[in-house]
Amino acid sequence: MLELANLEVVYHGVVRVLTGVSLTVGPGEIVALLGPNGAGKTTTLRAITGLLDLHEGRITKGEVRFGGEAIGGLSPPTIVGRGISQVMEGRRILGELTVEENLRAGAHRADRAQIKRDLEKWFTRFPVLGERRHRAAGYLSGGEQQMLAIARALMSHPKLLLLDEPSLGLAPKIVADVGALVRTINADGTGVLLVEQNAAMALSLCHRGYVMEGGQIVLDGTAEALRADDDVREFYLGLGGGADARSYRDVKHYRRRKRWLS
Amino acid sequence: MTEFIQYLVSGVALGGVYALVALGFVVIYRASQVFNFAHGELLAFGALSMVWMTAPAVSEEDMLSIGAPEVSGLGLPWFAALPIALAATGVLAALVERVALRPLVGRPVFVSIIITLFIGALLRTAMILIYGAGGMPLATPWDPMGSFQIGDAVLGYTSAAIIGASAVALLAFFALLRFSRLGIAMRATSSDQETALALGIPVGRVFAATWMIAGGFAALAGVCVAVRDPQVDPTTGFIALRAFPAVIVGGLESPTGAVLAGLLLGVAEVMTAGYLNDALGDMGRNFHIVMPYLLMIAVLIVRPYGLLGQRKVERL
Repeated sequence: MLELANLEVVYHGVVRVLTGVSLTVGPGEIVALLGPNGAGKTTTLRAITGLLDLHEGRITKGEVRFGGEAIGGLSPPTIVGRGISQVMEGRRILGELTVEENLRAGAHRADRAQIKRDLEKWFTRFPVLGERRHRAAGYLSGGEQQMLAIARALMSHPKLLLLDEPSLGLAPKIVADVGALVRTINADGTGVLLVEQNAAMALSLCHRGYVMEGGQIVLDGTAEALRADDDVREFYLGLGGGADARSYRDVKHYRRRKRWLS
Repeated sequence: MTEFIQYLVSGVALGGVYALVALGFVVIYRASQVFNFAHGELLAFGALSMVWMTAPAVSEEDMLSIGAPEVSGLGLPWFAALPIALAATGVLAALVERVALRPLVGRPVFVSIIITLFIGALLRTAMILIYGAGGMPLATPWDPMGSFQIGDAVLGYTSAAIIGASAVALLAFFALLRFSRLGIAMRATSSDQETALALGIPVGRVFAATWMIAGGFAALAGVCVAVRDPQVDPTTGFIALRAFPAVIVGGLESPTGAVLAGLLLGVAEVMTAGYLNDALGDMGRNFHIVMPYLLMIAVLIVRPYGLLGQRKVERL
């Protein structure tokens, strides 16, 4: 459904952040994109949603295709119209608007009857949001804001949902709730591309995953394969190799780059 | 007491005009972080278009006779011309935004200030070329001298029309902001542009709509000024500068504040003219014009962000 082919993105005409990223998300699939800070995960999402422009970024090579059509360079509203919706990092709730208005803002193109149905659906699913529907959304707790952000992105009925760090700054219990929500969304047939630093959470949810580093995909595979991979276990899940568990002091920092980029 | 009520009514009428102008400044500022110094010229454009559309058509020969108006009008009926004038000014405002200001997104604020000052000068000159520098009266469909008698106070038709029109426009705007899809999109855009884009809100079109609304308000204010004053000319727009304290007093980011402050300063100005000017003797001549600025300075000392200035909702 979504296909990135050899994507290269340059910021401000000089900073090359992505150097040939290729990945696919099939319909109804949950795909995780893992990687350390600065690997280019958020940039990848921006290239998909058309938000690069706002950050003076440009796709210089490669293609973004969605449902077989090239969507690179289209405006963000057009891309939302095609069926891709994004929850940005940090939730980005419109704090001065009420809970209900936040949801309505996510349904700019939907018709009235559908908006009404969706509002009811979400207020039933999350009674807290229903109770506070007329209160400023900025007063919700972090977890409630995350649920609101996801619900808001789903108001446009996307075929593909992009989630950027949904577990950021949330308590483990809430992270589990977010995970459960992602599963339900996926069960309803929506594809999910999940960008996470919390690899344990991401790998427990996804069908397939990619590991990004330095603007490239360095590893990919099914969730099981990734969970079993020594490097992923060591660097992302914090599980040493059992008997030969090592201290991080012994790991020379260049080793991990060398191993993956060789 | 009668005198007081009389002043209050004229104060509210003047305040209504200030509120319309101040609200235009505020919605534009909130949407695009531009302080639109060409707002007064939009106001004058609205007023003069109205004059031109409603003035009787004059034939070529009659134009040469002494005492004939400088410009021949279209002779449209008043209430048909009004929406056209508002819409035309709105379109002009949206055009200014699209052509001159959109390319400047992300540039320092002073660039947009200089640009709007320049556009103001340009529009003023263009209007002088088209309509002439001389003043022209705007005929009213009601008797300009007519009035209602309420108790002991007298409410002129003109004041009543100004108060009514600005009240309707302001209420309609707040209803739009609160309940309509466009209103929510406008508020989302002014609160976080990137999020609005990511949610699929066409931010460019929201900008255009915002400027159109602000332009329409400017034109309505211009028409209000035109029915109140004996004549309008291209410099009528300078009244927008007198609404400037209302913007600051209300808080640059608050539409409600702009309206409240506009009304407040309008009343204060008329009260000053009524009670204080004479008491101050020679020094008091035109003191009412200074009054809004004095109030503005006082408010700035006590509340630097204005009466209803930006209060961010934040969890602690």
